[in-house]
Amino acid sequence: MLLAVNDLRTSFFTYAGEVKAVDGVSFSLDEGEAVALVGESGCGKSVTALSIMGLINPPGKILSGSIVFNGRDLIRLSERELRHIRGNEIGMIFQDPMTSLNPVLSIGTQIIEVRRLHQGLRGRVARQRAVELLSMVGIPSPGERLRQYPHQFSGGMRQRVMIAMALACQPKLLIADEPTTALDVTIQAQIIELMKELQAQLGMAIILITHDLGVVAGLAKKVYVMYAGRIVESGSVDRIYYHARHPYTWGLLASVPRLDDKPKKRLVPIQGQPPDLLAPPPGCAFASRCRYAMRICVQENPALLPSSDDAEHRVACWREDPEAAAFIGASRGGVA
Amino acid sequence: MIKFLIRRLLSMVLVLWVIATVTFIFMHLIPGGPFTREKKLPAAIMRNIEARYHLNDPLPKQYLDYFRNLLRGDLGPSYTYEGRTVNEISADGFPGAATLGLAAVGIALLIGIPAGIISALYRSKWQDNLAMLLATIFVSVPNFILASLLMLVFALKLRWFPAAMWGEPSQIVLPALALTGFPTAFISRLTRSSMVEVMQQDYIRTARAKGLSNLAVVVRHALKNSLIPVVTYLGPLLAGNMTGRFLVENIFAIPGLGRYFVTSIYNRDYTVILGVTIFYSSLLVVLNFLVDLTYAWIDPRIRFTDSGKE
Ligand SMILES: Nc1ncnc2c1ncn2[C@@H]1O[C@H](COP(=O)(O)OP(=O)(O)O)[C@@H](O)[C@H]1O
Ligand SMILES: [Mg+2]
Repeated sequence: MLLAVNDLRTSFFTYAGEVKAVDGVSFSLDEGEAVALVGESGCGKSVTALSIMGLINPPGKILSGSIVFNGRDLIRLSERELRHIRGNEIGMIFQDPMTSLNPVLSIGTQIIEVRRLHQGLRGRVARQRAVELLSMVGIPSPGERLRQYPHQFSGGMRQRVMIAMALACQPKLLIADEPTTALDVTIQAQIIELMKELQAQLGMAIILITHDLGVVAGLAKKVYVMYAGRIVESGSVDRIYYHARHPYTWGLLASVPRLDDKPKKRLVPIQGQPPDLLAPPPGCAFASRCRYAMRICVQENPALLPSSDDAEHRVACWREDPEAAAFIGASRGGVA
Repeated sequence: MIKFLIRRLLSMVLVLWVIATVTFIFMHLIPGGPFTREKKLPAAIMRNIEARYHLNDPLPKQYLDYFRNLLRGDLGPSYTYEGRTVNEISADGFPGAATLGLAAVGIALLIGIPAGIISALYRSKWQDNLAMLLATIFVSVPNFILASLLMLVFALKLRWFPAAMWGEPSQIVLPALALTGFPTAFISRLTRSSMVEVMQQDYIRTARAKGLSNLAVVVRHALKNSLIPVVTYLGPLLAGNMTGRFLVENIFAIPGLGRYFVTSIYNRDYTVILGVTIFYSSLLVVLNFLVDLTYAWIDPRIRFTDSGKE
């Protein structure tokens, strides 16, 4: 096992009170495995990723849980030890390639910096390696591009540069936080395709973070669906796409744009707003938006339990409870 | 790049010409002239003097003559300082003013930038509170009051430095400190606010995700970006300080340009007014040009949009 996140809790202590951004998240992945973390904006995906990187700043704080990477609990490491892991054993790319690169430093400088930091590589060797990285991520005439600045690159090209930077030290794990969200649809597909190729080539594990279930299938084998700081459903891509059990996951699936949609067809967003994490309601956080909510849903939070027919497929929903099944057997089904 | 430089140079000349012309017109609109006295001079003498300085020529001719001489670098004779040319007066006043100004700006940068950075990195901690309290005080104290206080304490009471006069290195300390109060405070506030903003940028998070130490993040990724507003402020600051601050020069009895300029206006000393104005504006224009070059050096986006695409 490469990474095991166990019962992670990360909160932000703001003037208004404690924001429980991540509230007991557990997941794991093996070496070379790719998983996806999916959920609407604000559900705690980025905070989960930043917790793994050790980049949570005050007023944020990791309250409890463990993040075991390669046998070491990252939460217990010193800042110095963490710095050795960041960029070296875990690489990360971010949502907005337009703002994630330093505008006043050349691309070459920004790529070479990583290798120099972790492997002491400098001079011509470092440049040569940077050229290789750029051509590896599919940037034409890499030698020339190395001297250029971020504003001379398109969004898609910048994301490729980010990927090259994150992979410079051949990390064991790549965290990609919404790597395609800011890009055009055609470019999105190219970036996902690139990540898939690189994974086959380099064998790193990937955590793909996205709010769009549509981009998951190409890359990840396993999906974790997050809502209001918790994981509400997890399972293989197949299970999540075709046998989802959580009404929230159904909502996410219904809001995925499809290639065979008629152009005018409106996507179906999930009704209502995610709950206020400052004062989360009792019970299931999704209950107020859920068409199938029962009385128990607003009283007690459902646990994440294996579903009846697949132990790998876990759901946190009262509808899965054996007692509930008797009442709602008829309404069970896939995407509406 | 060459094209850009030529265009900038032409526009600089144009700006100077406009400033000189407007000054010329306004100067002659003010009633009175350089030889108007409370007691009227006899008409014959007046005519003689005016003829000698060509003040009885029609204004357009005076204007053309002035600019013809200006192109040769001749700013003309002073009307009130008998026998001295404006060139001499500038050459006289400028070095002192410039040394003083550079010293003041140098101190402001050396103290202001680090203070701003520390404030930004220790936001709301005592380091920040202390620095910003001092900055608020020094931004609000006028330089002539600071000058008087410094003189009172360090020259008259403690006798560490001479109270006035000019020429020896020790004489530069107090006036430079008096002049540096405001810019130091201002630069530290500018640096702080832009540093705070820069540290929240996405690329800073990227830098940290690479495993860089906090110091490396600040020095390599934040500093250059956060100095852009400081560079903007530097042009007018240098120009203002290098040509002298009238009151501070007066307090410390420093022969600077400011004094000449102010008296020349009372005296309607046309050539000195014009000469000092042109001198000051040239300095400002050239310094602003240098600021723009510095900008381009710091920020590749400017480098490439302004010149690269030409
Ligand atoms: N620096 C912060 N201060 C206060 N609250 C924060 C901060 N960062 C994130 N949060 C809160 O944490 C929650 C999860 O945020 P995030 O992980 O960024 O969501 P997403 O799933 O869109 O990536 C949000 O409700 C957000 O308001
Ligand atoms: Mg996010």
